[in-house]
Amino acid sequence: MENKIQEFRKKLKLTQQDLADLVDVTRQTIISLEQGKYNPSLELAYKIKKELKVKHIEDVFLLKD
Amino acid sequence: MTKTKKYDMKKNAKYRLFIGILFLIIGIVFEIFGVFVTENLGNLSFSKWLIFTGILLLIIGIKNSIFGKEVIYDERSQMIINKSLSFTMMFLVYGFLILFIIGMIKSIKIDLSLFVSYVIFVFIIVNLLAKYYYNKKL
Repeated sequence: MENKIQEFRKKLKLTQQDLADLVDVTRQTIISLEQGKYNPSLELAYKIKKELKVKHIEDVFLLKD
Repeated sequence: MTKTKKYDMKKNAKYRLFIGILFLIIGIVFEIFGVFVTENLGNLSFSKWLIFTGILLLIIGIKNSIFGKEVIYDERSQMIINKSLSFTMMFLVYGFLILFIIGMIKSIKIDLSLFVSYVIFVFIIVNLLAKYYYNKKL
């Protein structure tokens, strides 16, 4: 799964630690997500979408074919 | 999503210190009054084992109360722990299977306490390596 977390995070001028604190995970998890190594749970994906102020979850997370 | 858990090492160090002191006192009392001194646990008597474990717990407790930090276990870290644990268990099961087959060919005799200490040692090392691997992979 691809994601645009880094892009939206930078738009909001949030650090990885800021986003990690907002969604209640570790900074290492945000790093892994941005690198595409780790796929989040549905709940975490929704939390990230909410904190990044994005309307649809598909705008942040894209399923690769 | 697995709920994020927080573990404060400094806060929990006091329990370790308490158990360490308790082990140390019981070990010293057993040593003085000669209780369980002849029962061997590997190369140590039970009282000496209690003293040794008590000192070890005290050292870890003091270290954690000074340098301890808050550890966060989020869904990713819990997944890493689960994956590394299941890998370690599978490693041990296959290891025992190999030992079982070798044991059928050639008889193996080993002290039980020594065998258990080997198993614990292998478990810790394999689990640490598995955690390191999954931490890099995920």
